[in-house]
Amino acid sequence: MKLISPISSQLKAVFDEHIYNRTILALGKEAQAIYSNLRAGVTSCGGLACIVIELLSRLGLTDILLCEFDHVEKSNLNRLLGAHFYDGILKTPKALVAARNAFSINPNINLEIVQGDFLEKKNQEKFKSVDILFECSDSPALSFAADRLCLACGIPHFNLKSGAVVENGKLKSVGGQVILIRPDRGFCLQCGNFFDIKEARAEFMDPEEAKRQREMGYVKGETVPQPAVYALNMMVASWAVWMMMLYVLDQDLDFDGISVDALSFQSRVWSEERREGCDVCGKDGALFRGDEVQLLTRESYNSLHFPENLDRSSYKKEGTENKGDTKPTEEQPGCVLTKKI
Amino acid sequence: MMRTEITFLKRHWGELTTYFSLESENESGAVALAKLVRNDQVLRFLVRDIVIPKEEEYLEKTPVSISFTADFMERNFQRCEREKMHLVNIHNHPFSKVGSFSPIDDTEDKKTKGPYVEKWVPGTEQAFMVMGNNPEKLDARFWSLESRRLSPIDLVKVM
Repeated sequence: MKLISPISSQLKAVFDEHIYNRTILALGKEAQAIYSNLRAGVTSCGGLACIVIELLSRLGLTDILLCEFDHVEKSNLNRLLGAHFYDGILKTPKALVAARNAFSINPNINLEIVQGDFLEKKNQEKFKSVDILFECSDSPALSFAADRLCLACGIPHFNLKSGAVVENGKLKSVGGQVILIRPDRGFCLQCGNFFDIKEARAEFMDPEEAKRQREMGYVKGETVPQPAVYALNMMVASWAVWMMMLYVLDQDLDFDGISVDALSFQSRVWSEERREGCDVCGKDGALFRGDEVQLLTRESYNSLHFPENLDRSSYKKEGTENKGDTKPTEEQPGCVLTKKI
Repeated sequence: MMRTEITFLKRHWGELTTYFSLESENESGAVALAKLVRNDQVLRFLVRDIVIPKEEEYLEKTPVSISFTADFMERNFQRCEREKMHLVNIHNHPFSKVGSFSPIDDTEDKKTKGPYVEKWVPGTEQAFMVMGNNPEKLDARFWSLESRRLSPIDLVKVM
């Protein structure tokens, strides 16, 4: 992404050169000025997000928007950066933990906290103003909603996932992935079939209906605790922020995602197939339609066309021009598409 | 602080800068049609189409000024009304490395283009952009329908 500051722009980068001296030595003063002017959005304050927020704060971003409804549990303490033992007992809101940590790094940071659900319209609307978004939740509905919002409003975004598959008490697969979704790249999370759309639909239903669907076997069972490892989250969050750091400096990132197989210590970049005709990222879809696009929210879900099943054959494929492999399949070790997390 | 932005897709930016690079003597111009994102923190023009004028659609094309035929502008105004788009008027100064608005631009934008579109294409936001022969050295502003004056654009993005 190229960021050009017009001559008469009133947006001036202010940063302390002593604090960011080592970043400036690595990437230059112009890069630091760009980072300092960015407004980033983070859609949750969970295990991955709190590391992203820490990294952004240390990078010198002074404007961050957060959204989280949840509070700290004891079981979060193995991975929630900045959370203290008593946060688990007092059930401190996760957003407050993230904010406390960010303020301890930079007291001048402009941190706006939305204490609520990203799937509510009034909360999602606030994210229209960000330059870049990190979607770090484990919710497919939230991933789809963020995807639609960002493509409509011209916001590049990073979708982060990490996870592990344990079978019969044995670690079968562990890894993570970062997907960079840019307008005009010819794919999005919907037409790319990255996440289970039935699971996403269940998140929008009222609790009674969701329960009925689960009993009938249409969607998976109640949410159960998932394996989660701090070190793995660190790795995935670091990749995402590093990708962002290069992307906003207009470096040519000629791939769409990176997957990390933590068991074999391998990472690889991959490119997604390009498609036409998607009602989100296609040129006649939501892409760059701004405020006239209906966001995917709890309020709009019933009136919005949100497919029950994805028939990928309806999207016309375009040739993949970019380097890199294709995205990992579920059978491959280290694959952590949401279905498997 | 409210931030104001114009955002281009790479392909539109490429189309625009390629067109401007074809002419080194006289100014050139184009119109970008955009959708809007607006809340209390941002006003963002999202460029969805670049309209490159044909040679005969220039009324005047000299090293110091350009103007378009009424038909050309009317066609763009009609698209704004029909498709609920907003306007970005773009021109270049090929004789200068850095694009900055000239006194002629100031007068035209403030006295003519801003109020004209406000009156005859109501609800249409209008931005202006001038590029030097280095397309990344530019200036941009918009006609604020609230304050009825020209205000600076903070950021131009290409993605």
